[in-house]
Amino acid sequence: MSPRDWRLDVQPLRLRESQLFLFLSVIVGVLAGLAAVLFALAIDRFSHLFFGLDPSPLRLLLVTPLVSLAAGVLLARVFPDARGSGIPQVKAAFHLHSGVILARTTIGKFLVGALTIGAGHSLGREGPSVQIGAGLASVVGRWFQLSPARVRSLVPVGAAGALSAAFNTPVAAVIFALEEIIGDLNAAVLGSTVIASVASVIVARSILGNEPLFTAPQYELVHPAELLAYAALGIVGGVLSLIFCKGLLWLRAAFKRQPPRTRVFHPAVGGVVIGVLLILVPDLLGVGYRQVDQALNGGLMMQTMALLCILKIGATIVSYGSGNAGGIFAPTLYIGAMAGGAIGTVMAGIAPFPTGEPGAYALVGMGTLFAGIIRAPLTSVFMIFEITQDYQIIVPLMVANMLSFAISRRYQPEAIYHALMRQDGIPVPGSNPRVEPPA
Amino acid sequence: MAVVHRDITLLVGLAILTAIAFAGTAWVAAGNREMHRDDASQWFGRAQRALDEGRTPDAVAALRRATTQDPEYREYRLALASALAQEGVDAEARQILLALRERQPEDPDINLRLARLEVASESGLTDKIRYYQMAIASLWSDEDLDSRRQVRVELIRLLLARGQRSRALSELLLLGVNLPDNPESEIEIAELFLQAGDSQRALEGFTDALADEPESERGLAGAGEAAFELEDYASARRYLARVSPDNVRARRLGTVSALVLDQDPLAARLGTAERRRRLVTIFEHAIQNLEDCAIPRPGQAGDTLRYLDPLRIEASEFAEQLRSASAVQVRDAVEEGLDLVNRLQQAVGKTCGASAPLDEALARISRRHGLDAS
Repeated sequence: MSPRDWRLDVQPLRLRESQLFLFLSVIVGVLAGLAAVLFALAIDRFSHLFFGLDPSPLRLLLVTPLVSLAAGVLLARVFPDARGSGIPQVKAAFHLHSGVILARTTIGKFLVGALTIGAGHSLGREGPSVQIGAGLASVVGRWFQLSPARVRSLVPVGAAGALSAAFNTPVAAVIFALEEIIGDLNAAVLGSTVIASVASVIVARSILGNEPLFTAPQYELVHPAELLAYAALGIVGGVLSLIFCKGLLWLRAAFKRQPPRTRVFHPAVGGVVIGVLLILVPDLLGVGYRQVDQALNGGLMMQTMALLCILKIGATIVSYGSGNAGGIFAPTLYIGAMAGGAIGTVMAGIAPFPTGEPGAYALVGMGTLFAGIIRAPLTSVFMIFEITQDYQIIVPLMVANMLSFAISRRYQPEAIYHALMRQDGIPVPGSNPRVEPPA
Repeated sequence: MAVVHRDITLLVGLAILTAIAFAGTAWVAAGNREMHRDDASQWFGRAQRALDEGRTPDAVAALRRATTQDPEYREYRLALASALAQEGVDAEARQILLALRERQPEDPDINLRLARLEVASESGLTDKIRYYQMAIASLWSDEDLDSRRQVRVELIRLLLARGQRSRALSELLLLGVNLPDNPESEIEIAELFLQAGDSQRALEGFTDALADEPESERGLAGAGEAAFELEDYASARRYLARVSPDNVRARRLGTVSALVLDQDPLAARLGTAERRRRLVTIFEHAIQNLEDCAIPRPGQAGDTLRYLDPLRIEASEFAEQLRSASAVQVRDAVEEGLDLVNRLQQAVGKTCGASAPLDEALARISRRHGLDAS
């Protein structure tokens, strides 16, 4: 017997691609969750660094434009795809670019987004988190040399993971990935998005704790006739959504018409406006969840909420329209909470039937604006449930959401993310392609 | 030939990287938490200063910041709830306390604050009592048992203020079980027994306290009042005589007690002359009250007092009878006379009011001899 005959015939331990995809879904979920948490922490750090405990008016005036100027340089010269929310870019990557999102874009989004939002712009962290999560998924997929179809499938998995951690809403994150990113609630990657979403939220909760994003009392429908009041809120929410979308698209188009050499300064122009607004109303600073929490708990006066609602619409339009990096999820919830709270207070005074607390209307208002602006009605319902952990107010929420969604779609047929993609010259996915599991 | 495929190697490497990223993120999060805790502490300091200077709205704003920065820290939220309650924003204060209570249902401080908030609100007595009872049933440390006793005292005072004497008595009996052995506490409880209508237990409490501290002003006044309520006017007079004259109520009760003892014509071991003297005194007082009452006041029609006429006739007949009565007849007439005096006093009291110490003494004497109900 020759020595060769004594060798064992060892087969290399390997995974089938489907098994590998499953493992990667878990790891991408964890990574996306970590990235979303780290992004939130970075915004927090920057905000503290820029504004300190109690900023002076001069600091409020100067910080936002100066940081926006630096962000403008980075966006124009280094990270051109890191502008805006990130969700249109993720949709474009998924539908048009085989799920490819560059590592540079992901890093850029993290850095510039944290700087911009930390500097007080009226923008949210959830959209950028989605792009960062999707970008990480894309990078990991390509690193593992997965097939293009698999890389593409991993993108909504990362997006769901990031959103799940950013909002602490695992169910809404899955629905959002399917409803908004993929455009098909029956997508074959449902299982993977669920896995990633769960993995992500576990990671986020283990680091940040299991507190809901907002603490609100358990509200409920006080009287059947109160649905009329919520319907009125839905109508107002639809109108506000229209104003927001049209204003945002108009201002963004106006900035885009400027000569390309001026693009580097656009974020700083927005920063100047925000700086001035911050001196007048410091409560517009940053993400604004503190004020939302107050509105949900009936801690703000009607006039204050109405003023903050109007100013937040303007501030977000300016921040986003001027090309800064940040999302519109959080501002949408802010505007909705303020509008809802103000309407709830008015209703309590004029309605001939018993009405709930203004906080209940603030809660429904959040979902209403989300349905009207983001146009993801299912996500909005589940998101409100998960954010507040209040399941008592489902009927008013659905009534108001439906009305707001219908009005917004009637007068602004194209959803905001599609309109933004069109402004950027990106072909809008016309159909909802069903994502088949790669062979 | 590689034993492990590249994918697995990469997967393991990625898992290790992920674990490192997790540790790094947790470290950054801990740093942020520390940063927020510092900020919260500073906001809390500002809130305290604002509260000290009476600027409650500023304190509320600062405490809101503190609770946003460090939402887990219970003291900030409790302080915010208190400041909001001071500002009259009861609904939000209650919301904060209820949220805290959800996490720590047996925290005595939270339950007590909720109870106090309810007392200030227009909610029903049941809610108020419920929160107090939850506070009492909370987990108190051994050092805080006195605080727990004070909470029960608060509940008893609330019940007494709302006329719930029997419930207050039940709580008082529970309170008495773990009573610290000092005169101050004994007097406090005895006063509550007295308010709740259990004069016997009150008197026992006061006398126990007086055994340790014989010159206690509160103890003497309380013992006097309890004895007075128990119709032990001799003891009442004895205790009340030692109370400072500045104590108006004690002085009055002492006077009434003395009058009851000195003017009761049916008292035991009295001679006929003394019995007669007392009867004449109280009868003349009652007649004087009747005459005073019969004078029409400005704006009062004369015929409104006609119903007193039969009593006036009866009184004059009795005066005649008393004037000509022998010693034996006096003894027989005393009960009849006291009954008439009682009826005169009641009629006058209803029409004109009668509030002199002797009036009260006459009422007490009547009650003492079973004439009160007539």
